[in-house]
Amino acid sequence: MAFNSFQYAAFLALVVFGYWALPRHPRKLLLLSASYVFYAWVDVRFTAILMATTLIDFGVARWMGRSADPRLRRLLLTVSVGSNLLTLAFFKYFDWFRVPVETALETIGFNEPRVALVVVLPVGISFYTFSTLSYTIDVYRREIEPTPSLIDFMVFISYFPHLLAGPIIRAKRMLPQIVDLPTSPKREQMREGLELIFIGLFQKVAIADALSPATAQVFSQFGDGTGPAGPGWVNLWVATLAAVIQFTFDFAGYSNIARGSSKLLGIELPYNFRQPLTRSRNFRDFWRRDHMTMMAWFRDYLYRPLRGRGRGWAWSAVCLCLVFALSGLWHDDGLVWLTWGFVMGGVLSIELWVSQRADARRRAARKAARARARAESDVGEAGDAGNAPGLEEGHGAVSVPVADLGGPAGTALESTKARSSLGIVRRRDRQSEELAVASVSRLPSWWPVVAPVYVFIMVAVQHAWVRTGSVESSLRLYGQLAWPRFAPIDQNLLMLFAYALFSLILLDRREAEIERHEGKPDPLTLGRAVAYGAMVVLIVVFSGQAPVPFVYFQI
Amino acid sequence: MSDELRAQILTAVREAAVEVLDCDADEVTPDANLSETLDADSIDVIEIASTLERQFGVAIEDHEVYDLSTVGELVELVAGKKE
Repeated sequence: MAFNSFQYAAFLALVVFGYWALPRHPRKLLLLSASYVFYAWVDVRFTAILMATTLIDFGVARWMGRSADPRLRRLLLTVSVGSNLLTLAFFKYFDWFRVPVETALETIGFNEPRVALVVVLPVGISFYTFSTLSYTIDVYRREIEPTPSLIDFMVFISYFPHLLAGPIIRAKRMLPQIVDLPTSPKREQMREGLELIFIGLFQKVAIADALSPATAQVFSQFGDGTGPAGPGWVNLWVATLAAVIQFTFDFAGYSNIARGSSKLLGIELPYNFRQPLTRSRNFRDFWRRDHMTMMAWFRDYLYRPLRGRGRGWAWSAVCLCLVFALSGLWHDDGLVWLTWGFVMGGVLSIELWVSQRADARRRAARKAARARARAESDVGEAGDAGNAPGLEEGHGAVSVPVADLGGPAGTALESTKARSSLGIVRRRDRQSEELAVASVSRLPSWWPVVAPVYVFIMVAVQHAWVRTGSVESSLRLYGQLAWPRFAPIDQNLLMLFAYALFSLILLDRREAEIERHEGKPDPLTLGRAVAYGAMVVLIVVFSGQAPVPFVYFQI
Repeated sequence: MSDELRAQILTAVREAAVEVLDCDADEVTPDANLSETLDADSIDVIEIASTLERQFGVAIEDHEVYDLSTVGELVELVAGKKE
């Protein structure tokens, strides 16, 4: 049951109406049964794996919560992490081992193992595995208490809006909402929910699916190297840039529908995309705005423990490369994703180095300015000592410790003068510090305009690397991106890209507004009503074909 | 209460910053810039925010942390959630 299908619309409407019509306790049972029906709709066998994972982690966390023995707690955590990762690895990477296993079986006389060894990857397994892993790790770290309610925990893991492709949820945020479900629907939350679903549907149907055939046609020419000479330099660049909007909107659209559906049930899911293509200040910032919940998961459970504290840039760079390589392997098992991870880690490490150097220069300038001010005030103080009792503004008082002002030794008048002159000196110090810092390193005034272009191109280039499926074809594609070769420009592709770019800018602005007004009234304006009317027309225009699965289900 | 709360939060930020960043406590003032003055990267700020979450019983979202630039803004964020 895809989010962009009529079945899902009917399913969601039924669940929402039933949910608000019921008293609080049966509502949890409704959410639980609806979530399992939703998952069984994909494949009923998958619900057994979901149930087993849920029961194991519920039991492990309860036991861990009761025990004070560190060794037992560590053992229990190992059971949870081991069982989850082995299950995930079995389904996700079985194909890596399939051929050698088949060959080995053939050599010992089993000639028909192929049928038996077809393993289907349960949809959403990595998303809910990450959620349940974060729960047991947080209980182990004593950051949360294990929940005593199996029903609450089952709803948390199987909650249908997030189940298939995130956002990856954490118990710390979600369980309190499930334990204490809202009593009645909130007007603003419902309005936001409907708007997010509508925006998500537009992103998916009218942008991502509209771009998909045009970009696929360009990239398919690199698949096996037997196609025509190539799409031409301009067409290739347009397709590469358009594919970024296509994939971002495909996944962001899914996340918006998930968050919107959840808002209709009075439950807030975390942000998963925050306008990564238009608001990122640099490439590092992009990774804080794109697929946020997955990046936060890798950050909190891998990068932070691995990096530790105060071990310098080089170690941070190693950790970044390792974490991105693992994140690449999570996306897919090929060499192309592994190399993607290392290259991403490398690029981010370079950005980190540049930014740390700039910060260090600014700190040094600030310290130097402070030392200069201190030296000047010392000279002034020496001068004032000979001219007592006059106290001139800006001199002499700077060396008086704040704690001493107004103390038993000083009169009220002296203390007032001292405070006033101290304030002036501090203001001057701060101004001179800021001037010194500004003179050392300030981002050029054109950077805010260039930053989104830089981020967009970086994202496009990294995306192109994984698009064709193999290192050889990716290198061929990179060769053509770097070497201009003229061919007739594909007008259709160019127009689609311009339309997608225009929509991206407008939708990102609206999403930022929704974020600012979240939970507050946000009356409909005429301009927005017209824009939404146009979006409805565009959804109808582009929905003529059969629904295309969301990118995470295109296996 | 409001000033008292802010003072408490600032003290907590100071303690956490000294531990996470190994910086001088005097440097942690409300107008100190997290990255430029205190040498904190986004991960460090997340660590400090996690400490404050535990200490003051509030929930701070990642995107709220990423939008911060000064110690004072962090204090205001926690105070706003607490009030």
